Amino acid sequence: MNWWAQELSGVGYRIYGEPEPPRLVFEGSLRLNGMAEYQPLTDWLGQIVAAAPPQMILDVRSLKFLNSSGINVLSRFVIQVRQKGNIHLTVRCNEGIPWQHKSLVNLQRLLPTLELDFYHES
Amino acid sequence: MSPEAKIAELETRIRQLEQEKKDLEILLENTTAHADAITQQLAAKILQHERAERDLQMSESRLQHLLTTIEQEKADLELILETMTAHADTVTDQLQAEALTALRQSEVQFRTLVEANPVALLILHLETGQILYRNPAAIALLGITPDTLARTLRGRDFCHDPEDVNRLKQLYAVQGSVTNYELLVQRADGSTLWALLNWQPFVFQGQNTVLSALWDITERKKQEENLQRQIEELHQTIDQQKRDRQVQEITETEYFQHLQRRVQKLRRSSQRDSEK
Repeated sequence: MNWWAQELSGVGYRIYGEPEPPRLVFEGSLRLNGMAEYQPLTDWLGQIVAAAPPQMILDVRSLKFLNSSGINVLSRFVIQVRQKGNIHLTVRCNEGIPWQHKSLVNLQRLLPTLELDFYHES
Repeated sequence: MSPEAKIAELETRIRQLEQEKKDLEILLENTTAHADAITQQLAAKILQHERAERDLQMSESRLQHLLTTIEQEKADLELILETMTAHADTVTDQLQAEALTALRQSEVQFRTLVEANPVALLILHLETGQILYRNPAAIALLGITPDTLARTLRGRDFCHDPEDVNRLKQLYAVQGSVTNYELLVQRADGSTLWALLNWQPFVFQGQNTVLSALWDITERKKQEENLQRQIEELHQTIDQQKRDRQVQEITETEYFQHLQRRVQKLRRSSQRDSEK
């Protein structure tokens, strides 16, 4: 199965892939309990790194809330992308969501080539 | 020296020289063999040393690589920790702000609901009985004036019978709530009224309190008393009618008629006797 042809959803959140442009879209509020509950997402991100698309977009503009385990999963994904070395990663963010403005900037320290695109959306 | 003696001396000297030559050959052979052995041993040592040096270099390289990897992982972990901490702080702030907004909305909704409610509501401190909140209906019902508002009021201040306070406390302690308790309320001006009282546990501004609801039942009480009086009057009427009917039934019996006739006869007889 292609990595984009998948979907994860639960109470208050939905994550789905799109092939053109290759992107992973996060919607809602991700409040899963601990790394064990994030394992399906971790596995999915691992598949993306293994597939190594030249460009990859994480679209979190509609992700209103992400807990600490969630940011941990994203941080580890960014490290894997850096180690892989041949994926250009872009994160589409929402200027209006406080955690995105503050926390996603830190990911650039893990991956200096990481591109952060901030959108003004309500 | 005679020629024979000289020849003998020379022969001795030749034998000596031959012996020395043999000794020297043996010495040379031994020295060469020893030198070969030493050289071989040295070569083995050098080879061993070279191998050890190569291993050392490789180990050093491996260790250097491992060190670099560990340093990178450490830096990554520190960054993840920093990111997560900053994220947790941001999220905590966000949640706190959301919680505060929700709390304010909830308080506004609560006040709107209770202030528009025609039922008199009081929030009492669980231990002291102090009135922490009263809605406009409670102010009207209890006749609380601006003067009395300035004082610290307690629930007991409005109980006509102090024993009611103890009974209510006991009921609440046993049942966890009080339902439909008929209480004679003493208003701030000293007048009294009957109220139906309910007590429910309630958390107000982080404190364990009692939500007290009072409903004026004075009119209902009066109606009940009137009805009770009417019922008693009816009972009395019914009892009288019953007695009348029983008397009538008795007087209509043949035995009674017989007795009555005998009484009349006796009366007449005694009358005649007295006339004589």
